[in-house]
Amino acid sequence: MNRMAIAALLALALGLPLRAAEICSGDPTIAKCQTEVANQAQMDAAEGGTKRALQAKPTGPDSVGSVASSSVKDFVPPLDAIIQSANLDQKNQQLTLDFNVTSLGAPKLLAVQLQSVIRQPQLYQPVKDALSATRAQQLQGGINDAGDISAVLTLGLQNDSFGRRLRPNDPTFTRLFGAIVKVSPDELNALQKPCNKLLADLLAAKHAIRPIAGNDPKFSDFAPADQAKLRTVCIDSARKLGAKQAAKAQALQDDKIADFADLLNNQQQLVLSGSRRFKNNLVGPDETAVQLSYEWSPDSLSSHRSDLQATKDDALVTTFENISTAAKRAGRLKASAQYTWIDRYSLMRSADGLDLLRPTAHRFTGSVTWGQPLLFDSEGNHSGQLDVTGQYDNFSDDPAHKDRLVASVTYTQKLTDSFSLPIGFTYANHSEFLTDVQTRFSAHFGLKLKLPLSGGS
Amino acid sequence: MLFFFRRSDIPDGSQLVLNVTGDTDKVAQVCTMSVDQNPSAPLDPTQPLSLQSPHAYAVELDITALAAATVTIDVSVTASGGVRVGVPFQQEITAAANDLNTIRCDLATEN
Repeated sequence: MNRMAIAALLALALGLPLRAAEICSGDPTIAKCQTEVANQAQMDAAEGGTKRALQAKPTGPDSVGSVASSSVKDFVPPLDAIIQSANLDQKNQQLTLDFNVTSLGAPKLLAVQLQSVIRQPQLYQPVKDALSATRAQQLQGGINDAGDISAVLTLGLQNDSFGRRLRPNDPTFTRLFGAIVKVSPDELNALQKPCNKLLADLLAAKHAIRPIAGNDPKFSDFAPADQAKLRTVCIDSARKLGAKQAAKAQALQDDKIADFADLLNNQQQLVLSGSRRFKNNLVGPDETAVQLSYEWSPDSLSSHRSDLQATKDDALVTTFENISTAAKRAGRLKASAQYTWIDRYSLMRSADGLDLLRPTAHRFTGSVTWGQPLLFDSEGNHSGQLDVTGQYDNFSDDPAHKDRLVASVTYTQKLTDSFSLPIGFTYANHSEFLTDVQTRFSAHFGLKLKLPLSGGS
Repeated sequence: MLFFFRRSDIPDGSQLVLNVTGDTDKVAQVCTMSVDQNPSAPLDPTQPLSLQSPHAYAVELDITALAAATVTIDVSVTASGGVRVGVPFQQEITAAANDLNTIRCDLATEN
């Protein structure tokens, strides 16, 4: 048995050193070796944690998801979720291309998104109605694929109170991070100090046996005796730093740093968008629309920023947890208004006997929604929610949306994971708009009740 | 993940530049520094850090993902004449929500 084999057996008996030696094989730089060792140490720590968790876990199916993970999905901001993307919606036969433009101006006050929507062109309904089914199908087949395209420009206000942008060095997050991880720079530097000191001493004593390429020293830049010392000291430092890093990461997860994202998600949103829809003449008139929307919640990062700033470091995590709990129970308001101008439309096709003329039209839609979680289960998840909604439409070209106001108050009780029971009242300003109700009390009021098993309303 | 970046014999007045690009709005960045083992106030990682001789700097940038995110970290040291000191570092990270990634920079300036 040669010396290498004996060394390997000894190393195996001692555990990790062999692994470190294996990881740093191939003459890496000291930094690269430390990276590998530290991350292996992190994985070992995580593996140990998982094993302990599994051993402590009762048998049975795993729960799917958590409050934190689902709220993280909510965090994904509508303007920043996708830098550039293309989404094909098979159901609605449309392709959406998004491009998020870099924020404008030094204060980064605006998030800007350009969007193009390409829809499967559909023959304009009045044209369809005036033709035989066969002829309508022929014309439909002749419409160019680019017969219904929209261009949308969206602007979202972004500052300390509006939007979901997290500035790179948000002071609130910086303090909270420090309070949660509780690993001070002194501790980490003390762990790395032996490696740095040994390396500095060797360099100062001109112990490098060759010029150091890229100013990124390798173990092999030093004599074998120095290499051995460097390996021992720097790998040990890296292993300890990796374990500390694992502890930092675990502390963040235990304290549900995702709750920070929830608070950010609850910030006010003010979004203005304008769009122009270009259609083939057989598809219908061109449209121009402007929409303004606003969202608000009483518990958000901006509404509690001063509380967090005023809290001392030792109480910061507790204060943050209290605020997060309140945020989960907070309601949310959304209001929006949209105005659409529809161009004058004219189509003459003597061969088909078509002579359609539609004047310009205007459409207004305003809506307000308030959602308030009411009942909570033992784990803090809401099981009952009250929704108050109101929508007013006034379309100059559609009697079904002329001076139409429908408002409803709905309470939804979650019965099981699959079934919920909504019950509520609906008001409509004209009796013909009072639909989707179980019982009518008057021309304007009705009871809405949807039984989970009946499927009817 | 923990990444190491080490440079020594850095000329006086050089600048350390930490640059994080990609889904930066889905990550929180916290940067701490110590000079000769003495901790200093948190740094703004978007601003270059001027390195003075003769000191040993330890800079740690913690990148916490608040949602699934992909970012690229670039680290470089540039001397006052604009000459790069050693090879720059680049690392792309794909992080799940709550993941913590750290780049640790150990920098020694010329004596």
